Amino acid sequence: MGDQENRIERGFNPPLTRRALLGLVGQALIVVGLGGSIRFLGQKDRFLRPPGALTEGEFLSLCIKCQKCQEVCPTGAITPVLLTEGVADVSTPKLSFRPGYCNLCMRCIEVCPTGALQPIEEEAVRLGVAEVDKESCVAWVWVGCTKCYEECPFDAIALDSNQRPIVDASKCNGCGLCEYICPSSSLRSYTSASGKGIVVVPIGAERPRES
Amino acid sequence: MIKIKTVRVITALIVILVTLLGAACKAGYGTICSFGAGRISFTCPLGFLQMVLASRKLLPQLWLSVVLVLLSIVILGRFFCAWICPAALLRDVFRGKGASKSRKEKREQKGTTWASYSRYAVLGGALLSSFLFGFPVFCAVCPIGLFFGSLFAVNRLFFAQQPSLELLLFPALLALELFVLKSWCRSICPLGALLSIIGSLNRFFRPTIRKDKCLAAQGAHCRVCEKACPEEIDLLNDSADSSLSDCTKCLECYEKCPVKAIKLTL
Repeated sequence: MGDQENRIERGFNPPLTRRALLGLVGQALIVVGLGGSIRFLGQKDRFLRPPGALTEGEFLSLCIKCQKCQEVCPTGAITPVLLTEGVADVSTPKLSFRPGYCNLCMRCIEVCPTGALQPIEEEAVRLGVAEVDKESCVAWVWVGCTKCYEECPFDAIALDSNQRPIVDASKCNGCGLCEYICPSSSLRSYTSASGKGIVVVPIGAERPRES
Repeated sequence: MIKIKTVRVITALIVILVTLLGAACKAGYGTICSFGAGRISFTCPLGFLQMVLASRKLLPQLWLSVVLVLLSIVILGRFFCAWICPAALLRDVFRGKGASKSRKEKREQKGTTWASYSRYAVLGGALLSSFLFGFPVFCAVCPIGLFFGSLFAVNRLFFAQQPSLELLLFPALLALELFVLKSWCRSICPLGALLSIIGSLNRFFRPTIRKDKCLAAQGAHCRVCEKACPEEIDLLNDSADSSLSDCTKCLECYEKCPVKAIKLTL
C-alpha cells in the first residue's frame, strides 16, 4: 500500500511555492510580451479590407482569421495578408485586385461570424480609391488604351484631352475592376514594367496630387 | 481490432478533409476557428474571450455559438482535444508515447506538479495580452491556425503559383511548438486550459472504474490506466472526480485496461 500513501502525499493540489508562482507569472508575462511585440514590431502596410470592414483597430480586434470570407469570395479577390506584408495582420483578409475584383455581392459580410465585417449599403461602400500610375499606364506612356474608362461600372474614370484616364475620386468606390482588367502588365511586360497602370490604394494613402 | 488511436486519427483527418472540401467548394464553413454557417457555428471559445477583451464589446452575435460550444462540452467534455484538434493529430501521428512517459516519470520523482498549472498561466497571459494590445494574440501563434495556414499556403503555391514565406515559417513554427517545446498540450496550450475549466460542466461519457473488476482496487500493483492517460488522471483516486474535467475522452484508459474495468457512464 506504499503506493497509495505516496499518491495521497503527492496530492492533486501541490503547494504553490514562491518559485513555482514566479515561474507561472513569468510564463504569463512571456505571452503578454509576445502580444506586444507582434503589435508594435509587426505593423507595416495598410491594407484594403473587404466591404463593411470596421476601422482598422476594431477590425483587428474582431478578426479571428477563420478564412470564411476568403473562401466565399466568388472572384477570389479576398486573399490573406502574408507574413512579409505585416506580422500583426498575418492571415487576416485583404483585397487584391489581380486575382479578382469586388462585385459587391456581400457574401463575405454574410459569412463573417464575428462582425468584423458589418452589413453595409452598396452605395456606402468605399474600399479604397483608384489611382492612375503614370509610369505604368499604357495610355500615359504610349497612347490608345482606354480599357479602364470603358469598364468602370461607376463612371468614375474620365479621359483628358489626350485620351488618358483620370479618376474622379468622388465616384470611385474602390471596387478594383479597373485594376483587375488593366492590361498594362501584360502589354508592357517586355519593357520590364510589371505594375498595373491603375491601382486601388487605401483611403488616406493616396499619393499627393501633382498640380 | 482497430486501435482507438487510429479511430482518433481518422476522425481528425475527416474534419480536416471536410474543411478543405468546404473551402474548395466556396461553401464558407470556415476552419476550426469558426466552423459552421451563419450564426449556427462552433466558434473557438478562446477566440471569443480574446475578441471580447480586445474589442471591449460583448459580441452578442456569437452568444449562440458559445452556447453550442458549452452544450457540446456538457455532453462530450474536452473531446475536441483528442478527436479534432490538428495539433493532437500531428502529435498522435508523428510522436509515440515514449517522450511523454519519461516526462511523467521525472515529474513523479520530483513530487511537485505545479507545471500542470502552467497552461492556465499562458491562458491568463493570452487574455491579458489581448486586452492590452487589442487583438486576439494567441490566434497569431495557435497551432490550429498555423496548421490551416500551412495548408492554404500549399494551396496558393499550386493553384495560384504564389509561393510565400508562410510555406516555410508556418510549418517551422508549428514543429517548434509541438515537437521542440515538447509538452504543448499538457503545459502550454491555453485552449486546452480553457476547455479544462469549462470541462467541469461535463456530465456524460465520464470514465469510471468498476471496483469489483479493477486489479488495483483489489490490491494488485496496476496503474495501467493512469499511465495511459495523457492528462495523467488517476481514476482510482478519490479526487479523480475533479480532475475528470481534464478528460479528453481519448479512451486510452478504456482500451488499455487489462480487465476491462473502465466504463463510460452516461
